[in-house]
Amino acid sequence: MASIEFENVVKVYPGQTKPVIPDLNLKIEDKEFIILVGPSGCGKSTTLRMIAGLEDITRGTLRIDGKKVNDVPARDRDIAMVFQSYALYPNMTVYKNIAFPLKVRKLTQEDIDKRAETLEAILREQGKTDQEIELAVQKSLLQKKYTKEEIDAKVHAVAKVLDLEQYLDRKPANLSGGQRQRVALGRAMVRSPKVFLLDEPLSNLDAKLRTEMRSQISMLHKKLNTTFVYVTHDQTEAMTIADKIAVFNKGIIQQFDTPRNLYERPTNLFVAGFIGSPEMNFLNARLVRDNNVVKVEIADKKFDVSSTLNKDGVLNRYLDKKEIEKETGVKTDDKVVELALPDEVKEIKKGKKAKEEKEEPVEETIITKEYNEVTYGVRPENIMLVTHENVNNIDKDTIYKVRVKMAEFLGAELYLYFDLGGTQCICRTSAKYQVRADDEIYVSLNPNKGYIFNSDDVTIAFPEPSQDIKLDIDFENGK
Amino acid sequence: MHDLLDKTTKVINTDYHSLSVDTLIKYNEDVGYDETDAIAVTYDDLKEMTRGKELLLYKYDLVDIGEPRIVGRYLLNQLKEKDKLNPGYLPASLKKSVSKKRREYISNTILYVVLTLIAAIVFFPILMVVMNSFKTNTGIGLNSFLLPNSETFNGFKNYTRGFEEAKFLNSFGYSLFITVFSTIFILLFTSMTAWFLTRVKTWWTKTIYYIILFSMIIPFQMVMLPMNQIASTLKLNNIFGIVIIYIAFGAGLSTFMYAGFVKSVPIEIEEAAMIDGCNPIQTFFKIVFPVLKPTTVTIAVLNVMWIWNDYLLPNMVLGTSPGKTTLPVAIQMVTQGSYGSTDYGMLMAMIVLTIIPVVVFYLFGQKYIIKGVTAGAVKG
Repeated sequence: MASIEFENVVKVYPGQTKPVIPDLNLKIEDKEFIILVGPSGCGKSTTLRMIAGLEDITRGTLRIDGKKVNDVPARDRDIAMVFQSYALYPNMTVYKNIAFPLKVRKLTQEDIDKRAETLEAILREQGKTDQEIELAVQKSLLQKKYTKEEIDAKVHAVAKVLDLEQYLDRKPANLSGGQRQRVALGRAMVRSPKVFLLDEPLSNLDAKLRTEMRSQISMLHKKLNTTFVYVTHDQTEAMTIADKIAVFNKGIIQQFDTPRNLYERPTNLFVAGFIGSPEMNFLNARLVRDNNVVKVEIADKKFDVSSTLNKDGVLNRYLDKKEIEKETGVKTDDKVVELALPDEVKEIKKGKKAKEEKEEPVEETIITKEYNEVTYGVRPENIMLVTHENVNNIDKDTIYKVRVKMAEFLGAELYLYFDLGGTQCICRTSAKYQVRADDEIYVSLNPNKGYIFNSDDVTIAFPEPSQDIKLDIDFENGK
Repeated sequence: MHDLLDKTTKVINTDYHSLSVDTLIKYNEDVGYDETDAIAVTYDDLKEMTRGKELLLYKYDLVDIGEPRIVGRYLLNQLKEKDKLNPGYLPASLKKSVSKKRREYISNTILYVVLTLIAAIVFFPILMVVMNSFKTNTGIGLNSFLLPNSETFNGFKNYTRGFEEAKFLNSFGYSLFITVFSTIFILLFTSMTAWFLTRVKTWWTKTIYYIILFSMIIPFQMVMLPMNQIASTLKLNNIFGIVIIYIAFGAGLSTFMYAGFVKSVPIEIEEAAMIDGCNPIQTFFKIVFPVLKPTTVTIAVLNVMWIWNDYLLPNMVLGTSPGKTTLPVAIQMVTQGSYGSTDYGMLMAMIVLTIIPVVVFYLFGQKYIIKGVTAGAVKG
């Protein structure tokens, strides 16, 4: 049971000048299931190993349970770790592997006292004489390690939970991947550690087993009720089991948030591209003003995106520099502030222009120079196929004619690949549509579901998050 | 991926036959799979082979390694028990292996002949020694290649005389003490050194490592005279001191070999041990040293052999009086007569007695030597 706190942590590997982790600030609350996710080499494993005490910290402070642990060796941190390669002791049987942490460890005085107390209570219940009890308690107080019986009971309890009972006499070499994985988990959980660390524990398993183990780990977290930190490069894994996800790139946390917020409100282009499968489509676009409406210009077509820009509480937050910093944790410069609501932009422009050469009405004004070139992001599920039924409900300006390069059939869904505005896009649609490669189709970019990123890749507009629809239907009572 | 691996599949065919599992096991041996672990067939082969009765295949019975597929031990047993294999069908891959088998038979025969010859060459000197140890000195002089006959046979006289003159038991004790303790300390110290030098990578550990390597290439004859003087100055010219000298001379090769094997121990298991609560010393003795066991036996055998058989170092350090030095020196002393004459019969008898312990030790450790050498070859 512990919280973990990184404060301005810097990690430089010996012999290198460039830090792997330039400045890490992260607070993991007690009992949370945190996933560190990112491409390989982004520093997520280093972060985990710093918690474990396997890598020393170059600068900054790491606190576990409020105590600074920079110089505490791994063995005294009371954490458990599951390695990608399982790291089982090849010379020991499964039983000995699981029992090993108990055998090695000395008990704290607190544990010894507690044990003596329980023993006393049990003996009293059995109706032993005071002298006998006194003797037994004295004896147990001298026992600084776990006794054989205690170890045996714990190992069997763990083996039962993980369904390993019939393999206890085997050596790791004679186990399958999934079984080894469970032994590694068992060795970690047997001594109820403060923090549970898992370093890509599922990446050596096949697809089906991975799904199974994923839910098993998730259940284990609920059962053990302790802090879990889990490293993976697989965003699906991250999305399905985490309470909160920290997305890493180049040693910097891009965003630390709940899976849902990461998906709906990514702070920058990297997070938007990393979370979600298939990946979000990114199109080169220009922000322009057309008849006092903010529009996005993609491949010579302009359409209204004011629904994403103007909705209360969406873009407004991005007007104030301080708000942006507070919200995203990303340092902003003045450029960001310049992107304002259309009216305000007009005022800024007007003010400047009025000074210089009087007011001069322009039909199409570029919002600000810095924000002319933007990236327009749209998720594959938000590219609509234009059909006879829906053609009348769609804004004509959002419709593009494309040639399908490839169509992937996935049973319930269909993935279509095509070029739009010079970049390859994926559209995810229902498999009921009959589309083949080389077909020419019309697609529409849903203007209410677009994301806009500035030239620094920071999100400047995202669609209104979807409403939570509560399932409070009570079918049996007719409501 | 074959759909067989993704879901439970029923293989149902109509006619019933039974195929001997031995054929499959044979085939398996031919392609080099362990017979108890797996049989190798393609999916279509499997279908044919199981013709007749339904057979439930589960995903975990099959491990996909591309073609041919491996059917796990469980399935093999199932097939054996239920007699569900079809003999009328021989997989195409199995047919091919028949001609391959003949070729293998020929090449194996040649190999056996060559190896037998080499074995004979290696074994011949040992045979000579044993044979001549039962002959009189004149008998050896007449013809050392003949088996002992009624004239030349000397019974066990060579043995009994040598046993007394060389104070065999005393010398044997010296040899045993020196060999056992030198080897134990070499194993203990060099394994720890190698572990440290491999895991801690700084400029000075590298330097120490290269200095240790360098000590290996200096011939003993070059350092023996000054070494002898230093040894007597430091009062190392006794049975305990010589152990220290042996540690010094044995350290180079042993550290080098250990360092190679430590690299093949995955560092994760050491990290896991640290997290599980081990300090470095516990990590070494509870995890690293047990994992290195095959290497340890290999290095132990190599060291025992050279220390047991060493002549020069005990000769210089301990002196030459029988009963106060090691076996090789004692034997040489007692068999050497005046004017260059040598009692060959006794010499041979003593050599036989001396090599027995080492041969026994080698036979016990042999399994590990081969294991250790190949493990290093594969993992690097």
